[in-house]
Amino acid sequence: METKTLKQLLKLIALILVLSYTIDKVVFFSLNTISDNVMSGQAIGKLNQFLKVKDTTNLLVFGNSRANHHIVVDKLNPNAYNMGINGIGIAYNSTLINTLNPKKKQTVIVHIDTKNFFNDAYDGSDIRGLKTKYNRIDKITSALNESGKISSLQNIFYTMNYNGSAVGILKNFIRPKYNHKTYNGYDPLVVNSSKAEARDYMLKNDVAKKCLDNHNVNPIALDYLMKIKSFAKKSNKTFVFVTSPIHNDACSIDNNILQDILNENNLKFWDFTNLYKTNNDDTSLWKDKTHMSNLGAEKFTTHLLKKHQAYTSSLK
Amino acid sequence: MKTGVFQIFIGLFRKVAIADNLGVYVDSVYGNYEIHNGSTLLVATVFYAFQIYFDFSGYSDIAIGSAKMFGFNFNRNFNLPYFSKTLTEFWRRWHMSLSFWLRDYLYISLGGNRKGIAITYRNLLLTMLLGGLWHGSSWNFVIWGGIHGLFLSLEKYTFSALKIKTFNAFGYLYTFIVVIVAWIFFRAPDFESAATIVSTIFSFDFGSLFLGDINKFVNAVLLLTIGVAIDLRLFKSKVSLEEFGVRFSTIRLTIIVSIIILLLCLFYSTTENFIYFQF
Repeated sequence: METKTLKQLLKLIALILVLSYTIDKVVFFSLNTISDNVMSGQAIGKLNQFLKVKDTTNLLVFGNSRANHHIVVDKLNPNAYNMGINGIGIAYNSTLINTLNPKKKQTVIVHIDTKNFFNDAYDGSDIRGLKTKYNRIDKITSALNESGKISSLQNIFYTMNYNGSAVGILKNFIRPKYNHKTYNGYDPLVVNSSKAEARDYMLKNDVAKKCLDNHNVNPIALDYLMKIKSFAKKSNKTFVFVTSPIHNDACSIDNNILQDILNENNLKFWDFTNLYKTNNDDTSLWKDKTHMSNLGAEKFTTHLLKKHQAYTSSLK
Repeated sequence: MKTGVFQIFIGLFRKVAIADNLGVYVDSVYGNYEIHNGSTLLVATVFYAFQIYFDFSGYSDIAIGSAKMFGFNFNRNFNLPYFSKTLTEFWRRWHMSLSFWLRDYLYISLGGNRKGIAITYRNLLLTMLLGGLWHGSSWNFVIWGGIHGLFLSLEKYTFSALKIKTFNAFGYLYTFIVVIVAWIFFRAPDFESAATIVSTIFSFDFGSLFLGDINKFVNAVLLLTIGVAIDLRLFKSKVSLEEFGVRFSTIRLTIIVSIIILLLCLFYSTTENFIYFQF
């Protein structure tokens, strides 16, 4: 490369760096302003609403889509919020739990699934779902830094925090998906008659999977569980860990190991995996193999409420 | 130098933003093709057609642009292939380094079109079958090459019978349909799944479209629209991407590259490797 070309190239790179850095900051702060006002949608609205109500509710539910669709929080407490989000795991939940005010008296239900704990591939990358709050909320920033799931470029180009979610945020800003003032985080799965036939066929052919040979606990999942435990210890909250029903689970080894781990750590765990296994013929309770319909969720929450009431009265 | 910088960033955008975002939807549909209806499989196949194009052309742009920065000029590898009226034209615009090699070292070596019409058809078919096998020892690649060879031969026959040199505007649609049907065999894991996908699409029983993660789907459609709009602009202006960067002043190029960097930050996807790394 000639010296003249090299000088031109360096000049161009310098100009690109300055301008791209400036544009990045302008867009980032604009997106911050917009996203802070978004209260609907899974991209950021649900998280914003959670951050707004987390220290004023009596009961909080954390977990993945199964928590979101299975626990009718209104039935448990009129002032409750379901923070279940599709596709997330214990890393995301543990980080959010650690943002709660430890002094506030609350009941915290953490929905956990064995698949996080016995999956070798689980690496805690679901924590990236909180990246829109990176460099904005201290506890989330430090958890993200500690996880190593954040690119170092993110400290230069802040808009990377909105990677993949910018369009969803704009869409929910212009046209909110629902009225957040009446939303408690629970999303019912209604199975209409046109989908019921396909659901019935799927459940009829639901062959239970055999147990895997590997029952080693994933160290990353376990580490995040311990973070919840240490927070629970110093907080004024009642923690309950729950696994909601699955249509046809043949393997109980993983559930038993998980039960032992939670027992050893003095964490209350209710495993409802096989709660409806004996009446598998009633397909109306299900949307698919792992998700219950709104009817199933109502029935399950009633059961959970009774169990919870018995447990809280035993604590008194 | 400016052309090189421009080409590198356009390549990055094509690969990291467009192709990888399309790939998320394609993988989720092709990974469970049995449960999807015709409309979903059709959209996933169209997405794949653009995914493989933007993936490979983006990779080529990055390589050619980088070489240009060091004073090496390589021939272009893609020239807006989906703007082709015939399959013959498509192969003059798609993966040009391979197609010209196949033409020069296989088709012409076999006799090309100098030994009569029947031998010409045989040569076309053999060249494309071997071109398919170049991608891997799978029947799917053979069928992919066979479809191209068959339609190239049919085109040659049609042109000589009708005494025409190309098709009218309808040819764009014809070429795209042939290419995407062939892509099904290229993308599907085996012959059985490819056959199922083809039969589901051509049963014309189109139901509601599976969107998967709505945010990811909308991002993919948005980025695809931007990618196609850039190609359409290049096609209309009849200027190649390689020549486009020369037109820009330093300030204009800086603005364009900065906007591309912003789009990369907002839409990059890390889920995919370069598709052609497997070949």
